[in-house]
Amino acid sequence: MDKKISLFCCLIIYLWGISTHANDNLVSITSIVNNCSSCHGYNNQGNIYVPSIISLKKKDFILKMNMYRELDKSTSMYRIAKALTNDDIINLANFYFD
Amino acid sequence: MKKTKRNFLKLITLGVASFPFIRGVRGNYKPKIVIIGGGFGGGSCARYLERFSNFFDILLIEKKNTYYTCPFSNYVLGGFRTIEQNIFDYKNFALRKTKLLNANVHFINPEKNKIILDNNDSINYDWLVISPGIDFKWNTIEGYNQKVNAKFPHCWNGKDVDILNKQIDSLDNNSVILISIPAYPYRCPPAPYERASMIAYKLKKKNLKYKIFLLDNKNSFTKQKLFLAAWNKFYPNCIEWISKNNGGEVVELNQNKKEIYTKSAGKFKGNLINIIPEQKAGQLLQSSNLVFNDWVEIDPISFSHKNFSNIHVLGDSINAGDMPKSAFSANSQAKICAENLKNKILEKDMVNPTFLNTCYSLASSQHGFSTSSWYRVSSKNSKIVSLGSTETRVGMDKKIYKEEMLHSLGWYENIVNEVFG
Repeated sequence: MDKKISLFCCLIIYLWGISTHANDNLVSITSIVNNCSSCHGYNNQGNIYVPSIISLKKKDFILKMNMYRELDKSTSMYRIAKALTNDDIINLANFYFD
Repeated sequence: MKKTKRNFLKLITLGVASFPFIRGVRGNYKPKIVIIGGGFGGGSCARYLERFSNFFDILLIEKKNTYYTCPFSNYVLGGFRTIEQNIFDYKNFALRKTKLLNANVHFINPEKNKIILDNNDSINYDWLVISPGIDFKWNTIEGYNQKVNAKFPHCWNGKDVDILNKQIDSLDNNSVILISIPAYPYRCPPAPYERASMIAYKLKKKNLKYKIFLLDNKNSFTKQKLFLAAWNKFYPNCIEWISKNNGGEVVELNQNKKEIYTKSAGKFKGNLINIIPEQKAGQLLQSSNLVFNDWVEIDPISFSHKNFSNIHVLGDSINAGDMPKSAFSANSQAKICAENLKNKILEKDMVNPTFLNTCYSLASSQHGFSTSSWYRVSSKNSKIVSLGSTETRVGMDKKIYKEEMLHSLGWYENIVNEVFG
């Protein structure tokens, strides 16, 4: 009986662990996108100082992001983009434009 | 056997009682999320929770009717921005899907899921988000306390900067300005150095001679090379930084003589003295016993309080690991907090957070630069860690620094619109 109770408690604790910790397989594309809107606006509409994301076409977005990543310029977007992987850029493009 | 059964029932009861997801969506019941504090943390969290407002009710409690932003408050000192441009109100929250209550919270009772207001009214919550900003530690400098601060206001908020602005405007030729800078952590790490730059910018414009001493309780500061290069270019020999190792830590203020005594760099007499106090988590968190060693410890994936899983804390009051205390950080944390709080309530998997902070500073009206860093949660899910920060480079063409200044304008316009728009 005691063993059954222990097993049941272990199961509860295990399920609890699953429900309260991040799923490692989930790509946090939402959290990357949400960070973009801090500068580019709630709807990523941009303004006269920061370019719009949503007015771009998908292929132009990918080209631009790769340009930011590759060019050696030290303003903010060029530095921020350097941390993104190819997959991140594709996932972002899919999120924004599909 | 009876004892075992009793223990089993006790375990089940305790287990069920501690499961937050019983506060999830069940039938027609909409869980109630209460947010305390409508700044860049709480306001952003409300905005992003509104996307899922079909599933829960959102109430924002904010004590002020208007909000003066800390970002861009230094520009008021530079004389190229008015304080009115930094004021926002809360009318759009009510027009959206967040109910608004203009009240001051006196106390939180985490055991009873209850908030007590100043007028003794109480509000129950299923989930609570707290983002109250910072409070100050008094009596760390002899002769300086909350009472003395009335005469020598720190102005480490968006509103009181106007008082400092008037003090700067009253300065004569050959004035000495003393700024005491605290040790980490404090709100907006580069702001004391930007403040010095903006004061210098205004006094230079007025063709006044002046000297600013920065008396620091640390040995390095963010964007240090960029600031030092800009000061050398725009205000040569007018701003002197004295590090902790060089005795710069302020230990005493003599308010009558307008003198400051440092640990070992001697005595300084100032026409204007600005002491930025050491800082700690917001008062409400302290009075509600939610603080450990000055700051709130949180789970960096959900921002839930270490001891109360249905209380979430974000922004300046938390120990955010490598993340600095800034509007950008609070905004970034708020979005993850909203996302994973929604996931908790709807019993979905939580997302692995990615945070960003980009912090712009100006050294003159046209000369800006920034530092940026991405952050993730450590492998043990215990803290937020930086993936490495990068800065605008020193010695670039002035067009680069102007571009950074323009980006800062764009960032500000969009982030305040995200919160208050």
